Formats: sequence, structure tokens, C-alpha cells
Amino acid sequence: MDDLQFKKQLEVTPLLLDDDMLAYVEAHPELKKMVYKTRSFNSQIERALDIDVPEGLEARILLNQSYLVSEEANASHGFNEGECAESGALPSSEANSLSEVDLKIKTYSWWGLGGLAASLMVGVISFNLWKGPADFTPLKATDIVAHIIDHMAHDSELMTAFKVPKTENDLQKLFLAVGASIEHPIEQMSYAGECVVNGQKGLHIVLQEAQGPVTVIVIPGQQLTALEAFQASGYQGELVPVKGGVVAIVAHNHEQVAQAHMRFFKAVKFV
Amino acid sequence: MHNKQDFFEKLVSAYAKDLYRYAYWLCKQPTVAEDLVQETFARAWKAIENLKDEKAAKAWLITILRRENARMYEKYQPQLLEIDESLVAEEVSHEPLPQLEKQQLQQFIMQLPNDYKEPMILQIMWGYSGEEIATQLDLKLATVNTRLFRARQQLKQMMLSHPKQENLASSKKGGQ
Repeated sequence: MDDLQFKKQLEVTPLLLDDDMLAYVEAHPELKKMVYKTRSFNSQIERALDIDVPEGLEARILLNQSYLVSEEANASHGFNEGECAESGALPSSEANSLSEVDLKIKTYSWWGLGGLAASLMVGVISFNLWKGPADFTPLKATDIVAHIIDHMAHDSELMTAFKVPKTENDLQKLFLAVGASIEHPIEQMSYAGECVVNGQKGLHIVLQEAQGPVTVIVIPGQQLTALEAFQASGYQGELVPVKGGVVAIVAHNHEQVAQAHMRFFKAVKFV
Repeated sequence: MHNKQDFFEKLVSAYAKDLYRYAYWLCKQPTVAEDLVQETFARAWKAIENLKDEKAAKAWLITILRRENARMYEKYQPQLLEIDESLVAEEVSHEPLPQLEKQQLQQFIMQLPNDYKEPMILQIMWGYSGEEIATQLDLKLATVNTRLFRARQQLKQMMLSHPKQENLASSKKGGQ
């Protein structure tokens, strides 16, 4: 082995010196500095390659997969979408009472949600847990969902309202207040404003989809360890943990949830 | 069925982020990279029963992703740059400065041809050996070693050609 061979091999496998290379560097101690520099450069490359991954990527993959699962299930069971309800807003009588909420929660799974039909309304409710008040009490996922449903029922008029901050700065402030920022415009947004859910101040957003309105509510104070899918009172939804918080998406069918999820997380980043 | 679901979720948890990074460095666009990863896992789910050996999952997913990327970009293959064979940094003083900014290095990595970039990513990010890279990319080991060598040499060359401004300023100041 000579210097050139050593140098070439070092460039190929900077972290792995074979016996010949080890013997050579022992015989030529001045090369240790080169080994150090080459490994340092390798570490630089490693850090450079380690780019940020979009928020909610894994959740979106699982949602897409759940859609595939539902397609498979529908195909195998001859599912007829026409059998499902097409109602829009949740009736207050159903939403106001937790006892009347047919709530089923399953971690990372949409099995059993495939039988619900397309609906007119999608609710995306975001719980940001980044700035919870001092007296904040952690809630179970079921309780979070119940509060979401309750809040949606109370503010159902926002589904059709049109009121957004006049400037981008004002809109950004709303998001920053709950630990999030808008990276790209959120399309079809018809409403954005503060709200209170379970005594906690949050952010309420409504998006107008072709099939109906989409609602976004951001509330500080809750935390989950894994994505939770749920169905309650005719809604379907998910609670997605994000950096320092949780994002909940509520809809009447899981395809809408997945679409809303993608749109929301592509536009919003939790900081 | 739940085992299949559990296994899939483990795959997502274990590899989604690194697959995204791999895709990003291949296609250079965040949104396309996510689409590639989504399509990779969609295809993985549909064919998950074909995966007999769980230990092969990593290589299997990379293979799917590379095929998807090739399919997407088959009309837009980047041209390979001509490489000078004598790019070996002869002197220690020519080594890249350790304080070179990450962002600048990322720009240089972005400019590397995928033929050089991929082996480097597999080695550095995925911890593949030369033999494993050769198998994954269907190349000879000697070719892999050459590409690993050239990838690093090209990066160094780019860094030497584009020194940071403060370094330029200090060298000018020293020359006065």
C-alpha cells in the first residue's frame, strides 16, 4: 500500500479501516490527521443529508394505507356507498351529549371505518399542546373527541361563515399563538379565528371543500403518544400527535379525512 | 390481518423518514419526494405478502422507491458530469473547512449526479457496506467504490471552488 492507495480507500470507507490500512497508518502517523479530517468531512455530509422530514408524514402514509384497506374491504364485501348517510352538520342534540356519542377509537387504524359514505362536511380540529395553561388537565383521546364534537355543535354556524384575517401577518399570528406556522397558503379557507374548547383558547378554521365545509380548531393543552382514529356521532376523524401537540381531523368519511390531513399538514408546520 | 397491519406500521415507523430523505436527494423536490414515499408504501402494502424475510424489508423498500423514481423521471434523467480522474486531494491544506455550512454542503450534494449520490446516501445514511450497495444498486463492488470515492471528491472539489465568503475575505486580508 502507498499513500495514494491509502487515500483512495479512506475516501471510499472513511469509517472502516481494514488491517492493511491500520498497519499503514501506524507506520505513517502523519496520516492520522488525514483520517480525522476525512471522517470529519463524512460527518458533515451525514448532517447535511439529514434533512427535515415533513410534519405528519408517517400519519399520512398510514391514512393512505387505510384508504387502500377500505378499498380492499369494500371490494371484498360488495360495499354500497349509497347505504350511508349523507347528512352534513351534526345535530346539536347528538353532539351536546357525550352519552349519545357513539365513540370508537383505535390507534393507527381505520378498520371498520370503510363503510361510511361521502358526506357534505369535514371537520379538521387541531389541538395544539404547545402552550397549555398552567392549570391544564390532560384529557383522554375519547374526552378530546367529545369536546371537539361539542365545540363543533356549538359553533356550527362557522361552517358557512366567511371571515378570515385581512393580512397574512394577522393569520400567521393566529397560528403562532398556538405553536404553528403557515408555510403555504391554506386553500379554500373561509374562516379563521380564535375559539375556546373545554376552557382552553385555540384556533378555529373552516375550509370549504367541494363536498362541504372543513373545520380546523387549534387548542393548546393536550397530548397524545400515537395517532388515534375515531368515529363519533356520524363523524370520522383522527387525532394526530405533532411536535408539542396533537392535530385532530374530523369528517364523515375517511377519504375526506385523509385529504384534509394532507392539505392541512402541507400548509401548516408545528414549530 | 392485524399482523400484516402491525408489520406495515413498523415499516412506516422504521423507514418512512429515511426513505423521504433518500427520495428528496434523488428528486430534489419535497413534494415529489413525499409522493414517492407515499407511492412506495402503497405498493409495499399491496405486495407485503411477497416479503418473505423481514430483514430484507429495508432493501425491498429502497428498490420500490428507486423504481418509482425511475418511472417518474425516466424522461428527465440527469446527465452525468465528466469527472477528472485525478481529483484526489493531494494536500491536507486542500481539505474542506470543517466549519463549512450545512446549507452550502446540501447545495453541493444536490448537484451531485444520482449515480454518485445514491451509493453515498446508502453508505452514510443507511449504513450499507460496499457489498450491500452493490447488491442494492445492481453494480459491481469496484464500481460502487469508484462512485463513493468520486462522490466525496466532487463534493470537495465543489467546496474548494466555492469557498465561503468569510474565508475569501480572510485570505484576501492575509495576502495584503
